[in-house]
Amino acid sequence: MSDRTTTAVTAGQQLALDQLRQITGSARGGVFLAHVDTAPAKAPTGFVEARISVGCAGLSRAEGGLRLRSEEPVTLYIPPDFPFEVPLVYTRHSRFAGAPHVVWAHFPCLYRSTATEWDPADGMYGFITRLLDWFRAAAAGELDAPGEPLHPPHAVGDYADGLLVVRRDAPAAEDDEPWLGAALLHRISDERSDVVGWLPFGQPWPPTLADARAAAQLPNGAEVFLAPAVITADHLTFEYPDTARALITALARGRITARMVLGLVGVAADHNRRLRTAAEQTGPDGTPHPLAPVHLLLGTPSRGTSGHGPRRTHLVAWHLPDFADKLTRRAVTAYVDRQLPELGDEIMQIGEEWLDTLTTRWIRLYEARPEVTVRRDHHTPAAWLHGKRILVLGAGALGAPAADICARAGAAHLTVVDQSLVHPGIPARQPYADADIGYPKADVLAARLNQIAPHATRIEPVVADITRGLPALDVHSFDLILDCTANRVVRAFLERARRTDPTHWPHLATVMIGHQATRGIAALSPHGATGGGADVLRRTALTARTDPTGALADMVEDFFPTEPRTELFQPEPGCSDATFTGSAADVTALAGQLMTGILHALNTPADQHTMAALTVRTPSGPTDPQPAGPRWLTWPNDTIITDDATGYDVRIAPAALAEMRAEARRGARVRGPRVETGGMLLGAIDDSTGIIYVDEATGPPPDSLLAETYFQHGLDGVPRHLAARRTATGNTSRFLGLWHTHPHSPAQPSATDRTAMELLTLPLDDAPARALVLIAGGPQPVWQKWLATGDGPDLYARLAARTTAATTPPATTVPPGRPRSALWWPGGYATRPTTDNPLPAPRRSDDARP
Amino acid sequence: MTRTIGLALSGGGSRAAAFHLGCLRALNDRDLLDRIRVVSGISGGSLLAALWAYGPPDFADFDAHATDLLRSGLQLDIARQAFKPSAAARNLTAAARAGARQLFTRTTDISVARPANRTDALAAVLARKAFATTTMADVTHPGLDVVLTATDLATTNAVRFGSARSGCSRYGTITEPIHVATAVAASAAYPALLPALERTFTFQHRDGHSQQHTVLLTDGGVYDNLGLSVLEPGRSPHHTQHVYDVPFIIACDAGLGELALKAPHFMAGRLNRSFATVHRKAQDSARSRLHEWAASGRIDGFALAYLGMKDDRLPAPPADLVPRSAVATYPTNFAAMSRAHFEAITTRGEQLMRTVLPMYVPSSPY
Repeated sequence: MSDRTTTAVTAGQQLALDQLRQITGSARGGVFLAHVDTAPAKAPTGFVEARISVGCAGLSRAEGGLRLRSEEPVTLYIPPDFPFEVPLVYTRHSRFAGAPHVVWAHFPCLYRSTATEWDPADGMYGFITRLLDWFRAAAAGELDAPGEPLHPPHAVGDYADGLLVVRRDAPAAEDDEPWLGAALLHRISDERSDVVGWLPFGQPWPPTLADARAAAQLPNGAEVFLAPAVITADHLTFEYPDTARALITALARGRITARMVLGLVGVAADHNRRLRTAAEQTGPDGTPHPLAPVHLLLGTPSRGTSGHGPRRTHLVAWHLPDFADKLTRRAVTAYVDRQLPELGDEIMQIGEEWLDTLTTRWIRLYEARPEVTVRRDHHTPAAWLHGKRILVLGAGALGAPAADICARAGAAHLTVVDQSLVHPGIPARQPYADADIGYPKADVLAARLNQIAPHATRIEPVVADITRGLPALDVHSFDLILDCTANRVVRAFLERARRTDPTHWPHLATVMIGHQATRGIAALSPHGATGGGADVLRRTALTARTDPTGALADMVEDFFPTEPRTELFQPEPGCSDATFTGSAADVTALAGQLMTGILHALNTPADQHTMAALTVRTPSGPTDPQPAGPRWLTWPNDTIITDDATGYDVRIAPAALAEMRAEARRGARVRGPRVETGGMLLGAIDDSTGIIYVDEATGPPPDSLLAETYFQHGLDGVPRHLAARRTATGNTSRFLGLWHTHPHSPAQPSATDRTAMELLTLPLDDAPARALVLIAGGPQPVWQKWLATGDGPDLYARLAARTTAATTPPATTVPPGRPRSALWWPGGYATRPTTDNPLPAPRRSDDARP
Repeated sequence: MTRTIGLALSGGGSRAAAFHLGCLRALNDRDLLDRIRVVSGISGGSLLAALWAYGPPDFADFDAHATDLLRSGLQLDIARQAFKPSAAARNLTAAARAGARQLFTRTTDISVARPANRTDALAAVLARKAFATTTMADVTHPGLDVVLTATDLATTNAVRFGSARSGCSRYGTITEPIHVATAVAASAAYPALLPALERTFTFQHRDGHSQQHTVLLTDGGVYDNLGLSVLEPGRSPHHTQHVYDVPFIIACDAGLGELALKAPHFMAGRLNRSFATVHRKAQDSARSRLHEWAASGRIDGFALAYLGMKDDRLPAPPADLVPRSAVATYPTNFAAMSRAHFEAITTRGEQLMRTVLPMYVPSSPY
């Protein structure tokens, strides 16, 4: 063992050497330290070289595994910052070239991610263990062969010249024939270009810049140019030749001659000139437009995947600066009137010189090809957004982060609608900057988000009032509408538009945050849901208010207070909208939680949910009581019928229909199959949206009269019940009307029903001026099916305006055509018919109760 | 129709059975009976659960049968039967032969150690009047499972008789088929009224070995009078043989809540009262567990119909609600029920269930 020591060794390197000597001193390890050089000539400055040999005789070799010698010599380069930087492994031979996880033929790659795989505390012990693992896996052929692109080792001191981002899947050589052509590059900056397309040689290339831009879906003004590209059918033995001659020699083995490569370079350069008109070849100040840089892209089949599925192309690229320089100097004269063969000869002449004298300079290449990359958000709920078209209403505290989330997730298109301008107070919690003050939020946000993924996502701003701007937008072209306005008017407008529009709307999500930005609600009306945002929020309020556990009481207080909030927060003097208090941390956290919830729901198969609402709360401090976690409320679709009188939607909640059915089933069980029954409907009428909400139904009060063709609703307990429900629902659900059944006969009003409709209903003190008359019926098969399976029944609804005062007694005492001898049943839970035979008697609210 | 509901029927003699019959009427009207995945019964709840699960598939037939049984009562028959132990033995051995499934083949089942007692008599009466030789597997509603719980006084473990399997966590699974009549009688042996039922079964332990153990079965309500334990969400199959992850629970609780103030002077009275207290405490904690499960999201929700609920606590009671006071004094035995009592208790059950269903589940599809 010969050691050359100097004092320049850092403490870390000394630690590494000490540990290495410990390891090699142990007989069991099979690792021997041969030589230490503290000032090696070939290594980067400051590195310490340690040559070791690893005993590999005992490793079992599988087919496809690396052939290892009994002693494998390895050079370690220990960085000055050890153990905070990982040593490099180098082999002086190139026997491992081409194996997976061998970079540049000489550098076995031990760590994919040092941040997670390298533990500084383990030092050389961990490193040598890893090295031994590598050799064991190499011999066993278990170095996984992912066919993924390699990056050159930065640390060995080579440099990059420019940056290429590859966005489009690369072609592959077919049938052992190399692929020749050009890559279409979008020049982002002096340093960086993006590969946005591949043009095979022999097929027409876009003749103009506009065509080229169109081919890559780039906006006007995008600078595009071509770069020659060669994709071989065979592996090259090494990947980063540093002279042009070495590169061409390697290519020739893949049946690509120097003439082919140089000819392709020339054709591409020529086409780059032709793409520009004469006017475009000089800039506005008269100086010649700078020539496109000359890049050469080389693709080889990725290793290890041959025979298993399609072979993906492994790409490297060179910048040919000197070549470009020579072409440029000749260009002014060369390209004016001359023909391709002549030009080709000249390029060949330059090229031959280049081959012999010039070096190559490789370009850093970042992969963004879908075929070889995995999006960091794949398998997350946000993956739903990829490629979707999203309409974002409102660009404020929730809209701006939501739009940002959509853009980052790779939505294809976003339309952001907002008419407000950025005020000085806005950047405190919304993602706007000082320079944006005075500009429309939608414009500023769109401009910013358009920079996130310009090749994949377009953001279109619409600066307009939403209720006026919406009709101009084709809402059906979107996959999701995010209503982030927290605006009742917008919600009602959307609810009405959604209702009266016969075609199905896209998913609609309505998001809101509380008055202190500590709670959030997302109301989701997926495609095909009967209710929009206003409807779902109404249900959320009802459910939260009547929840027997009281778990949502804070939500009720925050979002659905029965008394309007008085402590309005007015951030600026004047007529600025009252808003909520809350920080950027609060609103972005809530926006993120609500979006994640919505996206989870959208990823759920459509048959598993309909309308839904998510409640979330921000965390509190470590010593405070913690708020409850996120909670979903879900509702199946309503049964919708159209009101006979107004054309309004009558939305009958499943709970209401279930109660009617239970009452009808009870009637059939106790009173016989043909006795009518009925009860009250509770809900609300919204004239602005044209919706009648039927939230609940009740059964017949005990003093009702039920017979085979007659139903008279009683009054026992009615005022008490209505008052109780008004209180429980915060006045959301009130007396709405009456329902009754027509078992085994059509759901159409009889003559009696028509008369009763005019008189309207119950002599209650606070009876509304209008009431809904709902009849459930149907011919015997329909009726029986409803009772047995819940499908159906036939329904008839009419919102009737009252023509006589509530306290006026009905005009007739006995309905025409009613058999007086029928069997009469009381309402309520009675199990036997009434013994005396009461005629349906007129009743007034001020009658004394028996 | 997917069965996603767990139904728990509490103990409490004929009062409980009648109350549960009313609850089942409401569930039938709401068309929820076909959604029940498992019914768990305790004592009187076991009786009604068994009458439904092993009875006529048609609801009206079941209703009529249960009504007849409860109206005529079991008490008198028990007394008669108890004085004729030989008749009981004959009855059961005959049943065993008829079953031809090795039911009660060992004479020890009729108990050599102690004479056939009144609970044996109850089993015999139940066999004669309701279940004959039906065994626990013979559920008449496809897709429904049944678990009837008794308590083994020897080990103080719950012994669960199920349509899928029977056994207890300590000894393992019972290998013999179990008569429904036996299971109901064991579950209903309310200690203050009926003696424990002694039976010897072959238990197969989880590790595979089989062994006979004698269990001393008494009322299942000693520590869970609501029958909720079986329905607890997220139970590990390693610790129990009965895991039914039902997202929604309907509990019918025939308890009366606070006991009327009275100071019993006699031993029997004190004993009775102490048992009543144990049951009430167990019932209170079960109710609060139900709330916890729902609040923590372990179940989607629950509906609880509680006989002893104070009437003014119902947010929207029916106008003709049978008041708590009308049923509060009814005892928890199996005596014949008068028509008035029977109708009052069943109607209150039906009313409470119909009222709480939309209240607890305003938006869910249950």
